Amino acid sequence: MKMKAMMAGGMLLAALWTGGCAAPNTSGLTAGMDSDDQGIMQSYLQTDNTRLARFLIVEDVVAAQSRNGLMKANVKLTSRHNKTVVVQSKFAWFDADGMEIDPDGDPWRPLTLHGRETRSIQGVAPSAAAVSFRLRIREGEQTRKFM
Amino acid sequence: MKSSLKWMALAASLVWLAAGCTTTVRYGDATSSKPLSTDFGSADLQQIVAKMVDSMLSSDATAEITATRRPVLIVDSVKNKTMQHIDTESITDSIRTRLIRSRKFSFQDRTTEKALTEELAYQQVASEKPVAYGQQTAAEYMLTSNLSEIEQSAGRVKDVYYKFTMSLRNLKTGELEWADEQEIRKEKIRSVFGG
Repeated sequence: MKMKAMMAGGMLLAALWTGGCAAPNTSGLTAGMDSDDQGIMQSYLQTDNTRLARFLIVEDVVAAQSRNGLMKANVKLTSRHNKTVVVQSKFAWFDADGMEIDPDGDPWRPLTLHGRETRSIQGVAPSAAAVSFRLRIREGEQTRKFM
Repeated sequence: MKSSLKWMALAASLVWLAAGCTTTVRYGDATSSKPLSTDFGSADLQQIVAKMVDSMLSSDATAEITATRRPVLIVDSVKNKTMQHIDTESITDSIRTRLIRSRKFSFQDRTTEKALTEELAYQQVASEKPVAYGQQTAAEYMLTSNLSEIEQSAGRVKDVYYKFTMSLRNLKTGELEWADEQEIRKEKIRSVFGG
């Protein structure tokens, strides 16, 4: 009887999960570069999604100043997966006081990585006030229609 | 035992249908990149604008012309060469807004020319100190862009390729100072059972 109840519970849970009730995991990785009081840049990496971190490695984070005074960022990503994966990323830029410049001004940008491929994501700050940045990376989205 | 399992499977199927077919209305993320169809959508527009403006602002050509001053720029309407009805003025507006935020250029706007002419004409007859005609700063550079589309279908697969090309032209010399393009590929694989 106990076994039956467990099976029933499992089936119901599975049904709820596949039926669309389960919210997708939208957490991911955050890579970036911070500037301290002396202006020395330090890289930053935060992993919130261990599943994503298993197949995606942040190889390198570079920040530089473009010739017209805008901060440029380059983040190199490598896929550990043999199959094609789609991720999406979004830049956030911060001024010297730590305030985000133009929040939500940058859209989520999809990036396709083929098996074990390394690709770079580049961004340019929206204003010359930017001194640090964060790149949020999460799994790509797709639309599935069952019926 | 077998009959109770059947009932459980039936109940699970009903729950699956109820969970998946419920109509839901909620606020979404305005910057989401979720593709809902192969048509040109808001996520495509945002991606194109972000990529093109980033490319233009970080180019050596832009660095040279904006090194000591803010040159006057005019953004021409995007030419829609796709088969779809796309609000190209919205793309133009987004490009201009993002460029204005960078504070690297000054702008002239031809889309509001009619209202501006009416206002100036009204001022000449009704205002004490009207703004005189012929004092506007002339645009020095023009930003032009094209959006084109190539669609292919084979069996259950539909592939749509979009190409957005943008170039910056010096109005005095007629030379192209900068150009770049952004490509987007969207793929739809139809399910075996229907649309």
